[in-house]
Parts: sequence; C-alpha cells; structure tokens
Amino acid sequence: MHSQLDIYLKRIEVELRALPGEQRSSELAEMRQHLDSMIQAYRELGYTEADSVTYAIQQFGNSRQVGRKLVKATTTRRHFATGRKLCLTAWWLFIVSLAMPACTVFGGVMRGYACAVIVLFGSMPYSTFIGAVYYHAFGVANLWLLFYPLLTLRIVSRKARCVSTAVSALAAILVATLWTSSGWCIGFYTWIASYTLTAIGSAVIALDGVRSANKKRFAV
Amino acid sequence: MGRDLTRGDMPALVLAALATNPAHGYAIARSIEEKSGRAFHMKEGTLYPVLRTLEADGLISGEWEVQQSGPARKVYRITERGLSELASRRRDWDDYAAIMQALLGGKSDAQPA
Repeated sequence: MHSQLDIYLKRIEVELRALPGEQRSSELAEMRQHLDSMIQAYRELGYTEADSVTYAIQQFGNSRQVGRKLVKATTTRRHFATGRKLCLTAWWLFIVSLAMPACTVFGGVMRGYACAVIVLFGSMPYSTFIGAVYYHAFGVANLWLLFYPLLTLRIVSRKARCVSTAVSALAAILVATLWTSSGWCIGFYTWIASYTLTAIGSAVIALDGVRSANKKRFAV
Repeated sequence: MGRDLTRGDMPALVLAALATNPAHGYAIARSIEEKSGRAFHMKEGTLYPVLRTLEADGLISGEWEVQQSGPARKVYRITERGLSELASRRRDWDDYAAIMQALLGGKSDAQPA
C-alpha cells in the first residue's frame, strides 16, 4: 500500500544489519508504527495519501542517518565494552611492538617482524625491501586495517566482524605454530598477544550480539 | 522562535516527557512538540537512538504492550534513576539559565548609546 514507506524502511533495515535479527525486527516494527501514526495525522489534516507518506518520511529523517545512529547507540554502549577494551589493549600492544624496533636496544625484534612477514605473506617481495621503513609501513598498514576498525567499531556488520575474527585468529595461529626461532621472543610474543587479543575482542563483540538476541528470545 | 533540537537536548526532553506518563515513541515526539509550542523541530527518527541510550543507562524502560485498539506498541516508562537524573538535569539547567541571565542582562542593564 505504502511502497514509498516500504522502500524507506528497507533502507533503514539495510543500515541495521549489524543488529541481531530479532532486535532489528523490533526496531523496524516500532519505527513503522511511528510512521503510520504520522501518516494518519497528516491524513487527518487533509493531505493525500501520497503526500502524507512523503511528509512523514521527511519528518522522520534520512534513512541512512536514522539507521546508523540507532546502531551506534545500541552497539557502542555496554554491549561492546568488553570487546572494545580487549581491542584497545591489542591496539596498545601493537603500537608497542611497532615502537620497539625503532629502539636499537631491541634490534632483534626487527628480525622478528621479517620472519612474521615471511611466514604470513611469503609471496611478497620482502627481500627487495629489507629495511625498517618497509616493515614499519607494513605494520602501520596492518594496524589500520585490522585493529583500528575494531577499536573504533567501524566494522558494524556481523559478517565483517566474523571475518576479522577469523583473520586475526589465523594470524595468531600461523605466527605461533610456524615460528621456528626463539631468539626474538619479545616481538614474537607481542605479535601473538596482539593478534590473539584482537581475535578474542572481536569474538566477544560478535557473540555479544547473539547473547543479547537470546536474552530477548527467552524473556517471559 | 524556531530552533532545531540538538543531540544534547534530547535526553532531558524525553525524560521530562515521560516524567508524568508512560508513552510510546510517537507520543513522546508529539509531547515535546506541543510543550514547546511547536518552536522546537526534530527529525523524529533521531528519537530512537536517544531512547536506546536512555534504556541502556537504566533511565527508562520499554516494554511491548497490547493496546485496546490496534497492534502492540512499545511503551516507555521513566525509572527511579531516570527521575533523579531528570531532577539533576533540571538543577543544571536552572544554574545555566541563571548564569546566562546574569551575563546577558535585562533591559535595565543596557548602557545608553
């Protein structure tokens, strides 16, 4: 009946994809009722059906902003606090592990990076770029790609969080199992710790959504 | 006077709207609009993030309730914590208004040109 309204709510639903299914349905049902009441009020003022829907949607706000703000308000509060703390710790550890090679005292850690890069990305032309700049650049790129989005909760999609969890868990397993030298243990353990914490943190964030959905489902 | 509500205004206004009666989202929006004499404008979709934040903080609670006519609606109630938060915000606002009044002054304080 209100195809314009359905399209609008569908756009909001797309933005709410980070929320568990039941919570998403609840949010959409509540917003639909609000919009239906607004449409009814405009109808009573004498507007046509089409105009009433248009005005109600305009008054409700941009679908993308409505959805994003709702997800942000839902996810950045207590639900994600634990996961976020773990990711923050991982981020700090990674910063430390990046800063350490800069100190000549920990020169061995640089070689640790080299080995980790070789293990993880053997096909990369690392031999032609040996040197601090290359490894630091690689580390910074890694930091921004993996840790920063988790830390700031830029990854709101549950699928993206699961992929990120899997990638960081795989990285931790690879570094832990394929490492053959014990000579550079500071860098080694820092890498494992940062990847593992990221994996746990992102898993907590992902599972917390499921937990809150279950809590609702089993509530009497 | 016309003024767009900012994000910081909303939680206090929602708490004030719920202080007297439980209400659903649409009724809260109408209450704010009517009490302000239609001077405040807001995009009503922005109400829901505020409601979720207040719920997460334990200042309000929302429950789906079957209505006498029509489908079930989510009705929000202010909690004890919400009432004390509202009282605190009212005190803060009174202090702020008193300071602004003192700073801006009335007509009697204006210097002749």
